[in-house]
Amino acid sequence: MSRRSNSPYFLLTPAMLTTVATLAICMVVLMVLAVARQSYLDIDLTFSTHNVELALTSPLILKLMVKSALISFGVTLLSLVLAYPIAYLLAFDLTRNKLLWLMLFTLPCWISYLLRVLSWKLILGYQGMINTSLMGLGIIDQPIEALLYNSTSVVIALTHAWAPFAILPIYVSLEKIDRSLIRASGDLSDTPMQTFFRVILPLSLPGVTAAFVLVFIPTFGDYVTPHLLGGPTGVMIGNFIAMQFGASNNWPLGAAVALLAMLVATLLVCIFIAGSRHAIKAIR
Amino acid sequence: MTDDFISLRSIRKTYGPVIAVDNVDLDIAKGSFFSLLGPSGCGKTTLLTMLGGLDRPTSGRIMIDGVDVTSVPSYRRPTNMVFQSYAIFPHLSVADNVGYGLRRQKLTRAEWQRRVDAMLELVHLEGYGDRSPSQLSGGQMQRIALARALIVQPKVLLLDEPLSALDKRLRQSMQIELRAIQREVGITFVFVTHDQEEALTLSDKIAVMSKGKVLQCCPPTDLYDLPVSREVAEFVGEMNLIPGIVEAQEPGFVSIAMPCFGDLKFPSGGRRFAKGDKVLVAIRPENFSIATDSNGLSLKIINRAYFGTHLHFMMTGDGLETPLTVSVPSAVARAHGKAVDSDQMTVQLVPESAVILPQMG
Repeated sequence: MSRRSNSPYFLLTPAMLTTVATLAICMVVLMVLAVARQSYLDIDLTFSTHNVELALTSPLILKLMVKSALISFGVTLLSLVLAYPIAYLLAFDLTRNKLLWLMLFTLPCWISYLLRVLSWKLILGYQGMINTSLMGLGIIDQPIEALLYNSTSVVIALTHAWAPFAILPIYVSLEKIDRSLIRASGDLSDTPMQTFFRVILPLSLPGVTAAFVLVFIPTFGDYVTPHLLGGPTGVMIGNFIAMQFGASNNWPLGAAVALLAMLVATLLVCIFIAGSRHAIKAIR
Repeated sequence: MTDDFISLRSIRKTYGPVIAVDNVDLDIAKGSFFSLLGPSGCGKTTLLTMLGGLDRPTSGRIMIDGVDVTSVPSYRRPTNMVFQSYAIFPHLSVADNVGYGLRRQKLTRAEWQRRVDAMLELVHLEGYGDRSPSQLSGGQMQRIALARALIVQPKVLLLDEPLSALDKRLRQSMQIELRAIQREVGITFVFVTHDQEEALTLSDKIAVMSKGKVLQCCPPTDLYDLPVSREVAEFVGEMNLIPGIVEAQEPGFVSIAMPCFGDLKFPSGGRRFAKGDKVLVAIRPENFSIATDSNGLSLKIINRAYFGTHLHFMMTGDGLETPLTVSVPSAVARAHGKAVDSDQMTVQLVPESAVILPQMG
């Protein structure tokens, strides 16, 4: 009897071990490092709050943190706005070949992330698709330089990369909505628009929240896209952290900032969840 | 009380090659409790959703209170619906569910609360306003759905098998309550059900539907006592159908030769028959009586079932194709004692309670 009740946990063992090995241990290492100090090429493991204080007070880190939050917030909102109609279409309007459509919408994810980011260089670049097209059409005389190597290009590329991931959770939550609720709302003299805001949107909120987390968290810490497309103004907190573990060779500071970034991301997600619930309550 | 408060004229609804509703004409009186009765797939729910504007007829006209609403969308119709699945909004409290349809009317918070409370009182759920729908039982959800539809004071309330998900005892008490609420609010109820007992109990008038058509539309007593066709007779209640051949017709009466029973004289019910017509003598199980004199017919009992208030006998006789069902009140059966317990029983048919139906159709 007791063996039987233990078996679910037993089955979880491989996953648990992997999680412990890859996540928990790394977290502990980060925490230990965060309260250590770099002394030239060695790491001095005696307890010190130097790097934590630096991470909390440095104007540069604060600025990068705010910038990262703004960029990934923008990316997430854009992704949600773009993904919601597609998820809606999949859930309510398409009746046949749903799987095929879903595959088509997530097709970009089949190509390497790096390739997708780099392809934006070809599109947005000085001699890129947009500039050459516009010049060929005679709309502009010389290439627009503002397209690439700034925050905007980072937002565009990240949205392109992450919006497909937002479709799925929203689709699932829309698909779950009992269709008779929508009929009931119409029957109680709500126009289709009111029905959307009073019934469909609130009931799809779990999916929207999941999509938010799914897009916001990874983009907040991303450093590949800003590195390749960000130029001097599109730098994010991930770039700073990567630099501490690389060229700057200051692991303790990198660890402290990484932990801080995690906290900030969690806090922002919590604020979004609370905020969206509040907004939905106000609508009804 | 006008008879054509709601009128449906040549309503047809097709889904591709499937005909869901076939040329239906109906008139429903104001303030009445009207039932659409039929087996599943007979088109009754389709008819109801077209009344509510959730579906549009392929052809035909729907008038409510003198206004043609055929192409008016549901949110602008003076109808409200109680859904089979209740369709209670899971993200709203009970009070917000009940008050959902009031938003249009721009009420003050106090007025809103007053009307929601009044509605909750009507359905006997006072003080449930702050609860979440997930804490409610099926019967309570049912009442919330009813309150939510009634609060906007529709001209017509449409009910799509609202009691079918409840257990028998709860269903019976909800039936009584539903009828009481209907009388109290005076709104026209159009009720869809496949449960003939429910329709008979609740309705002022019943339309029996089958395969997209209305077979008969009349008050419950007429439906039970005077079915117009074999289909209606078999669908509403239990009915014995004994084939016979018309011998002669005289004013008001018709003589029919039946197997086992011989020649009997029945009221013709205003129908005309010719000699030699094949007919069915339809007679309810309770319209047999246990005979004490020699007028009765001795039949073999092949099965008996006890139903508390009644005793049902399955009986056969010479020439009867299908066994007859005879229902005898338990008290009567007890009084007859031995006659009931043997293999044979003498029964008598009451010709005045029989209905003669054409064999075809």
